[in-house]
Amino acid sequence: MSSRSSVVAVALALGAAAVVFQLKHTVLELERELRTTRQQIEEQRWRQQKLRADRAYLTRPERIAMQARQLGMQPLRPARIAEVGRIVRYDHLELAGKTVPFVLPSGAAAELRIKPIQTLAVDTGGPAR
Amino acid sequence: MSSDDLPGTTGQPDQTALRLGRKRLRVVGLVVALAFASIAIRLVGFVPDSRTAADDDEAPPRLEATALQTRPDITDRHGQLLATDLRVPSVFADPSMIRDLGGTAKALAEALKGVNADVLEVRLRKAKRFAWVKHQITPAEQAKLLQLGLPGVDFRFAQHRVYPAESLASHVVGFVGLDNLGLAGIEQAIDTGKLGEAGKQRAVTLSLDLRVQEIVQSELRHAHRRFRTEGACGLVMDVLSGELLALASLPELDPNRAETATLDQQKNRCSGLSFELGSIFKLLSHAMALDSGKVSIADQFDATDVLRIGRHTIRDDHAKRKWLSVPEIFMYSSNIGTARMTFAAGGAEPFKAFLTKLGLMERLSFEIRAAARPQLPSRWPDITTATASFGHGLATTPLQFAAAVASLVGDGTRVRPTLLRHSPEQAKLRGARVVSPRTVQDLRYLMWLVVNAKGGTGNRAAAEGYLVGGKTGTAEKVKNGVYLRDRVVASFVGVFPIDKPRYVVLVMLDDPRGDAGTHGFRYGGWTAGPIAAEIIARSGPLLGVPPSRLVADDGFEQRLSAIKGAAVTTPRRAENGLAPVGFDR
Repeated sequence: MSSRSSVVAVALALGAAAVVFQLKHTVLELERELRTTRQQIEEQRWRQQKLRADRAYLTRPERIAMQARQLGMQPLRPARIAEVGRIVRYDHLELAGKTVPFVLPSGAAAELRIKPIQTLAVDTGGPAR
Repeated sequence: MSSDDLPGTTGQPDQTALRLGRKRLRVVGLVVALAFASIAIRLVGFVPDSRTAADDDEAPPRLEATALQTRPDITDRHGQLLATDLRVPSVFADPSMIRDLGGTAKALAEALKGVNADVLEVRLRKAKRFAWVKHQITPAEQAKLLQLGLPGVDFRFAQHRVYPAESLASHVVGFVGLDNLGLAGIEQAIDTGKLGEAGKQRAVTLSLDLRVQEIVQSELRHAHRRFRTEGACGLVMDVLSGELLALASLPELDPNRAETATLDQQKNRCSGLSFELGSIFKLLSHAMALDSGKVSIADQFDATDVLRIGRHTIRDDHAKRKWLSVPEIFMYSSNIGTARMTFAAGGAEPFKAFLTKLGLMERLSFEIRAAARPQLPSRWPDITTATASFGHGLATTPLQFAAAVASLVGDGTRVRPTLLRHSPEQAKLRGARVVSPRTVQDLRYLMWLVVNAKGGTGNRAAAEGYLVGGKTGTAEKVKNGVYLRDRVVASFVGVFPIDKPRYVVLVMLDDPRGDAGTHGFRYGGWTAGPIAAEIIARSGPLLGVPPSRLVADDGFEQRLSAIKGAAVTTPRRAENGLAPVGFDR
């Protein structure tokens, strides 16, 4: 083996070792970063789970009912529910109170009264429980 | 003297020595090459890496299980959480890393509730490398310990099942043991595979509506306090799909503290125990008789005197001592009339076949394992047929009975109860037909009479704003084969709105006592009926059921007036509600 080729071979060997070492170091760093990120994701998932449980506890119907009572609210009763279409319109009510005078073809005077089609007396009281 | 003159030399270089030298060079070169190769191999990493996360200074504590490997969450039909897993820390200490054991034990005892400093110090002195300090600490305690920064004290995390709704729907959800395996309810069904594909999802969605569940449980608690019951059952079921919007059993238990629950608290009175339900069973015998074609709604039967079968006598609690029409028999809950109707329709064999069609002769196949087997007579002589027709001598679970009622008044097809929310496709599926559409209409009308006709046993079950039909029942309790005269099971099964049924509501009170408000009566119409009425009035708006309009019972009124000889009247109704005036709870 000539001395030149030996030198080249040794130089190549050293160079290859350096490259491989650098690659390995980079991979290890990336692996560490991946592990840390996965663990952080896990931490956040558990935290999210805890927040969901907290929210479920705070919004459970018993607690909402208790707080509603403290605020003086009452549960919705069927007597308080009405169909929108059955509620009389204010302008119809106004018309119902008025008469519209007009003249018949014969010349006689007459009055028109307008009656609302829908009537619903909405009870704002409601029965006591 | 030159090398040329050395003895043995001829003046030429020694070829052997040269060859030997080259060979040695090659060997050395090979060794060096091998050395480089081993370094290269090590660098590339073909040797297994023994580094772990624990070797990293910045890595957080190792977790016992990932958030993706937990048990499935359990939610109600709207996604409200009923059960979930949380990662909870427990504290341990390594005594070998603690210099002042006494001081550390004292500091830990101050920071953690329920830890005794002296007991802890003894434990730390006995242990070598590991000693538990406290399991499942709160976040506040964890924060305190982190602030103290005690050397040798660390945390270990484990999964812990929590139930945010506490006792709400506890008999449905069930609970887990220390090893996080299900021991009851849906928790157990998840582990046994009873839920099929639904149990393998990230979350199990139940059919329950937590708001309706709360209404049912609060009303049952009110009944339990007022009537001093031994227990109670309440349920709300979709009349077509069989989905249970609520299923409640008293006494309740808190699954967060399941280890302290008594046996009585663990009993599920809706599906885990069977009861003789009494007169509400007349719904089934009437349905059988009318559907057989041998009895029509206009028929009348002799209730002028008691009914004698062999040496047995059947009486009516509220004897009218006259011929009764079929509607009157149902409305006044006549045992004599019901027995006569059942015999007119063919007796034991058709009745048994009808109960089989409704699934009442076999154990209910249900997601929750605690479904009790019905208790049925082994032989059916006439007296057994007669008593079975009005709900005595055979016991079934309230849930099975409610499913049978849903089958009869929905669209006449078999309904199977379920605790899992149906998909839109599943909700459209229907079971086998059990009664004709004509029978369905007849039964709805009979149930309307019980609640809305004057003198009906269920007048107190009339709910504000909704047209309700139903049947009351009061059955003597049985102990060791003997009927207890002073202890009853009082029940009411209601359907609303009865003109176009959407839901079945069943309330059963185990051993209620009357009070001044019920004039001392314990009958189903006085105790269970008003509870069901309140459940309907409160839950109807939440379920999106529009209040019934007054015209809804016009059809029933017309039918009433068309029946010849029916001496039945209805009270005048208030304009803004459907509750008959003059009745109070």
